[in-house]
Amino acid sequence: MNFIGNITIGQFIPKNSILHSADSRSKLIFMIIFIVAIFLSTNFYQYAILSLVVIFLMLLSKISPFYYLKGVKSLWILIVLTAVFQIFSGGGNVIFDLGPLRITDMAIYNTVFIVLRLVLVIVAASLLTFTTSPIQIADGIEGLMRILRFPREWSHDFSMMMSIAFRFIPVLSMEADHIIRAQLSRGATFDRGGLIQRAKGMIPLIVPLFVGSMKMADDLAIAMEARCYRGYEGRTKFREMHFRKRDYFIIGFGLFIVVFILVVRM
Amino acid sequence: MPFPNLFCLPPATRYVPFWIFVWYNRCMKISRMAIWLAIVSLLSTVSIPIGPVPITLQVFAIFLMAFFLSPLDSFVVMIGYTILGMIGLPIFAGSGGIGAIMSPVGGYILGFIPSAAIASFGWKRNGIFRILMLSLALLIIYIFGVGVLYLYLHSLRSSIETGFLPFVWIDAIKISLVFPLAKRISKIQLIRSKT
Repeated sequence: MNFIGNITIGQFIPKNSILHSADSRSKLIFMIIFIVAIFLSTNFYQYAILSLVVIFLMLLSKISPFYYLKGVKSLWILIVLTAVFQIFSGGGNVIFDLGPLRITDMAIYNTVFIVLRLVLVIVAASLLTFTTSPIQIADGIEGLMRILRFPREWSHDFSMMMSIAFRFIPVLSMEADHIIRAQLSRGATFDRGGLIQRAKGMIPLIVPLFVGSMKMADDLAIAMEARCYRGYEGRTKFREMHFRKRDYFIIGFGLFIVVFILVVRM
Repeated sequence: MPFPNLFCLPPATRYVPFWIFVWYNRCMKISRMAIWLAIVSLLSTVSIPIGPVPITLQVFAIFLMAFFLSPLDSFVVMIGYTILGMIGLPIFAGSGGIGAIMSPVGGYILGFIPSAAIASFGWKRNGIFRILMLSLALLIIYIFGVGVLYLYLHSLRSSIETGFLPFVWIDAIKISLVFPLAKRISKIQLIRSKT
């Protein structure tokens, strides 16, 4: 029985760099384009170019590479799982033969590529999340939905929901911790007995958690209503987002990478 | 003329002329959806260590959310959940980030999005139709999951053996546990009051 202890909401690392001050919409678009470029590339030259671009952006973000390594490390199980799945996929000449499991040269080649691709994707995503605060990302998603011509109410409500959830997750986590301790002090058992015992042990935990959270939601709704919240109508922003020259430059850079990758491929 | 507010109003209140009630409902709806998003994220990280594969409450939480929210709302909440996880919160059963979706087990996460809507649709019906819809919702999670696994394993049989058979019965038990719990919770007036 373990909840996330002290969950770090987002991985934002405040620094003073070009990437930090860029518009979150352009960073989101750049990341999508870059991930497309990663998936388009098939040979080592293309991966070398992409790695150089990632290293260049890492230097530009002024964040120590240690943090990026930590991001990759936290997903090592998934990377190992991917590698294990890929290495027995077969095709080409057999190198090792362990009965039903065969390792071929083609499989090793594919495994290296897939692991490299996954690491590049993780680092590219970290570039976004390290340099952009969660609220900015929510605003950026709203902006992207506006660009894609979603109805304004939908995009506004969606980003509002996301920002509220950001705030609620640590609060609920703390609440759950309090409830666990309160029930333990009353003699509840969460981690003893068989499966049915444990499932039953969840009930005194989940019911108060739900009642408390619904109460929180209702209080919040009343507070919003008391402040005359009515969606996007007549609402202004504390932090206005501006598309500057460098944001167009960032998107142009992303498109340039894709074109370059396609040229190298041919 | 503003765009008709399909996103946040239940059908019965869509044409109510008292706008103040409509606004109240909108706040209620957004905060309820946000709290369910938070609850699903939180319960996804709970694990009961039994045997080699720990039991997580991810599917359980999603089906519980589907019981209380409308199909469209559950769909939107699950999209929000996926985006929150992609941003980097560790809410996909302990891992997070965009790498979790790109990995062989990422298909399950994508499967949650349509599955939540169908499950919610199923909960609103009765009898055999409900059971059919809930099974379909569970199946859709596994279709997506096994589909992505197949891209890595290149063999349908082994991907079903590793990604479907060991887990599906545990999930079926978990979903059957949702109903009594949901009934019990919805006895409480505060939660039952729909927006």
